Amino acid sequence: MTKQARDEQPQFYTRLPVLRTERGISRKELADLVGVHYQTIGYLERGEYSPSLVLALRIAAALAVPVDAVFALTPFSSMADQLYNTEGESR
Amino acid sequence: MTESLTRQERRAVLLDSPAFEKFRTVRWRRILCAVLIGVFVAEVALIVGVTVLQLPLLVFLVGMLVLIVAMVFSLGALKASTRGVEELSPAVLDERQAQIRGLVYSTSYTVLSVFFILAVLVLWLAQSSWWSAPFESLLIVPMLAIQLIVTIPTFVTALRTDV
Repeated sequence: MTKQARDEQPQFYTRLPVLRTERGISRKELADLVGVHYQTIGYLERGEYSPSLVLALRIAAALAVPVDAVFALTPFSSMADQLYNTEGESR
Repeated sequence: MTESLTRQERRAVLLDSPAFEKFRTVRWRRILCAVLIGVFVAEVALIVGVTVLQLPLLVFLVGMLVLIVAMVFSLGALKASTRGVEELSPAVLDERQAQIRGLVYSTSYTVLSVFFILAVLVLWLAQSSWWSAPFESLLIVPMLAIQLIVTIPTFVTALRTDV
């Protein structure tokens, strides 16, 4: 894959905004929990920064979910599909 | 070590202060960069003015005082606009900020190398017999070089969009 093609595609997909909002945690609170600057949480939520494995694990632990529920290399199916379409593929 | 880290932490808190949030936009950072470059140009103009145009010494001293104050304020605001990512120790930065710091220093190294070559070239040409360079050129080049060494990492950081 060329560099240009790699740049055009997201490097990873994340459900961080949904999970964080669901738990009623602000970016600042989550940042304090995992030991980063709150701005970094914003970059992670927009998929503009790829976290280290340690940070990804810390975030997953803070949200009390497995790491692959927060970050993935392939797009997540929507929450609505997962909740209401039980026959559909669920992650 | 602990004392040093505490000082760094205090500095990090100061540079991350919400009071400077206004400056943390690309537009403001570019304005502050332009102001700082303007200060450097004014310094050169003042030196040329006092040596070539024979301006009174008092004008030079007052002018330099004003420019030093302007430089301190604009550089301070510029550092606050970048949250001091370029000057703080990696110990007080998170992994994304530390990554930016590394990229900033890599770019700064390249920019400084170019400026160094230019400075040496100008000084070498000023010494040559076919260019009767004024004495002040020998004063201006090192003066600007020192200021650029101090400010280039901040310029490079400020001109990034992901700070």
